[in-house]
Amino acid sequence: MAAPLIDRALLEKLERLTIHWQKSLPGLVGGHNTSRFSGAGQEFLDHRNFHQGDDLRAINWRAFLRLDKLFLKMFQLEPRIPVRILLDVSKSMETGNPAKFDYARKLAAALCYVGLVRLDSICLQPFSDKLTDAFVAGGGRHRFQSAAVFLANQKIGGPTNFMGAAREFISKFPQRGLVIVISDFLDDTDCEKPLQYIADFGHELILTQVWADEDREPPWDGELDLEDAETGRHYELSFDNRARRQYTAAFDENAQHIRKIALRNSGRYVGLPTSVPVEDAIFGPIVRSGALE
Amino acid sequence: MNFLNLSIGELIGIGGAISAAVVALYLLDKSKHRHVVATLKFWTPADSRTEMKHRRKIQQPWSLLLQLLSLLCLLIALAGPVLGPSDAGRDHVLILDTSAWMGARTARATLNDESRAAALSYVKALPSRDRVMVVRADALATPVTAFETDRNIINDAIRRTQPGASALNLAQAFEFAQRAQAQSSHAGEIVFAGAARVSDEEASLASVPKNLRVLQSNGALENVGLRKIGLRRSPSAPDTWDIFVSVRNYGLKPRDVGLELQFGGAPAGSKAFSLKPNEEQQAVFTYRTKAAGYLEARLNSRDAFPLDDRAVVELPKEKPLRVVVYSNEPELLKPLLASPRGRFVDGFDARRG
Repeated sequence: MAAPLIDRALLEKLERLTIHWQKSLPGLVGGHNTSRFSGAGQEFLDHRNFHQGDDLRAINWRAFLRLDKLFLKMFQLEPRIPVRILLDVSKSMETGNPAKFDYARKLAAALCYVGLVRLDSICLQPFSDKLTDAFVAGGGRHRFQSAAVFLANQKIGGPTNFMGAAREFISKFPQRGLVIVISDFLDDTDCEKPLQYIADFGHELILTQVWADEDREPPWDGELDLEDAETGRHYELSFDNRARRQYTAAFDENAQHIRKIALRNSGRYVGLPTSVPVEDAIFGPIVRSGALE
Repeated sequence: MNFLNLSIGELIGIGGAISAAVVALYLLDKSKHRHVVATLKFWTPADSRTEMKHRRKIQQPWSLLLQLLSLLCLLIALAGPVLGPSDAGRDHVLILDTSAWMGARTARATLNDESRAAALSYVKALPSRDRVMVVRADALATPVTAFETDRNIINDAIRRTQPGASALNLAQAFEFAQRAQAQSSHAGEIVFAGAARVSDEEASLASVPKNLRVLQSNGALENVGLRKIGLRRSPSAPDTWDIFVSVRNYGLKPRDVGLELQFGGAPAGSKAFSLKPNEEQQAVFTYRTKAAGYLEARLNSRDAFPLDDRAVVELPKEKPLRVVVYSNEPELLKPLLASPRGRFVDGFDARRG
C-alpha cells in the first residue's frame, strides 16, 4: 500500500486554515469570504433606490416613513465560490530530486483538504498541453480520501502548453472563481498570455511556482549534454560558475515575471523550492502570501 | 647517454603510457555529462561564452604540452641519465636477503623466490658493461661473486640463493657493500633484495647508504612464532625444571594461538595466547623429571612461516656431582657442598696427604 500523500499530523494542522481570496466574486451564499456583491447575507452593506421587481422584504420602511421614498437595504454576501486547483502534470515536473510532481501533488492535496474542511467547492484539474479529467469535490473533509486517491493516480506526461490549457479552462469553467496554479512555469513559450487570459475572465489567480534546486542553480560543471524533459531536444554547452550565475539570474527574472503577472491581476504568487518541506511551505510562504489564513 | 634505472625502451614505454593517461584524463574531463532538465530556455543565455561544437578538441594545447613536458622531465630525472661517454661500467653490489624469514610462503611462492625474481629483473635491466657483486646476507654477509660482468655467473648465483637459518644483520651487510664499493672508481648502486625483516634496533639503522636501492619482497606476512625458550633447574627442587617460553605475534592482526609442551612425547603443559599485533608474551611451566629427554614446544598456528612454530631442547639427566675436597678441615665445608646438585663424597686432610 502506497504511503499517504499527507500524514495525519499535517492534516490536523491544516484544519485551522482557510483558503482566502481577495476579489469580490459572485456566488451562492455559504462561503467564508466577504464580497462586494450584495445578496442574502446577514451584514448590512448599503442602501439603494428601489426598483420594480426588487424584493419587498428588503425595503427600509422606516426610511420610507421619514422620507416618503422607497429604499432597499442591501446585505453583504459571503458567497461560496469554486476553488480550482490547476496541477501541472507535464514531463518537466518529473525532474528534480525529489521530483517536483510529488511535491506539487502534496501541495494540491493540502490545499484541497483545507478547502474541503471549510466546505468549499474544490476542483482538481490536472493539465499539461490540455486539460485532463478533473476531480470535483465539496461538502466536507470526508471527501478528501477520494481526492487523495485521484492525485495519487495522476501520471506525468506530455509537454506544457499553457495557452491550450487556458483556452480549454475558460470554455470549461465559465463561472468565475479562485484558480490556484501549481506548476514549475517552465513552458518553452511565454506563460504570460494564457495566465492573463484566465485573469481577464474574472478568475483570481494564485500562482504557485515549484522548482527543484537544480532548476534554479544547476550543480553541474564542465561540458554538459542537456536534454529537455518535455521535447527531448539536446543542447551541448560548457558550464561554469559564471554561466551558472547567468542561468540563476535568468531563472529569477522569469520568477519575477510570473510574480508580476499575479500581482497585476490582484492575485498572489508563491515560489517554493522542493527542498522546503510541504508543511513549512504551507505555514510559511503560502500563509504569508495571504492565500491561506 | 644511458639511464641508470630504466632501459631506453622502458623509459619511452612509461613516458608514452603516462602521456596517454594524461591526455585521456584531459579528454575525459572535457567529455560531456548528460542531464535531463525541465527546460532549455534559461540555458541559452547562460551559455553566451561558448558552445562546444568541437568538444573533443583540446582547448589549451600549450598547457597540456607543458604538463606532458614536466612529466617527461620528472621521468628522466627518476631515470638518472648519465651524460658523456660511459665505456667504463659501474660497480653494483647486490645484497640478497638469505635470512630464515625468506623461507616464508606467500600466496604464490616463497619470499626468497620473489626476491630472486626481482634481483634477476634488476640485473637484466642493467647495462651490459656494469659489474655486479652478489652478496648473500643473513647473520653474516658472504660474497658469492666478485664484481662480474658475466650475466650468466651473476644469474646463476642469484638462482642458487636459498634461505638460511639465521636472522638478517642488515648493518653488517651494508657495511660490507660499502667497503666493497669503496675500492671501485665507478661505484654504482647498493641493491638490497629481500624482505628486510630486522629487529627494532636494526630498523633504526643510522648508516643507510645513499646509493641504496631496495627491491623489497612482501614482508608483511602474518606470523606467530616462538621467540625464545629457556630452562633452569628449580632452586628449590633439583628434579624440577622451570621452563620459560616466549611467543611473539609478528603480524598486523591479533591472533589466538595455543602452545603445547611435550617431554618425550608426553604432554608436559599447554597455554593459550591472545596476541595483539607485534606483542610478545611469556609462559612459565614447571616440569618434574630426573630423566634425560627431548622437551618440545609447539605452536598450533598455521601461518606463512612454520619454521618458528616448533623448538626442541634436550634435557640432561640429573647426575650427582662428585666433589673431592683437599682441606685441613673438610668437615667444615661439608654443609656448603651438600647442595642439591653436589654430593660430598670424601675429605682429605691436606697436611696428612
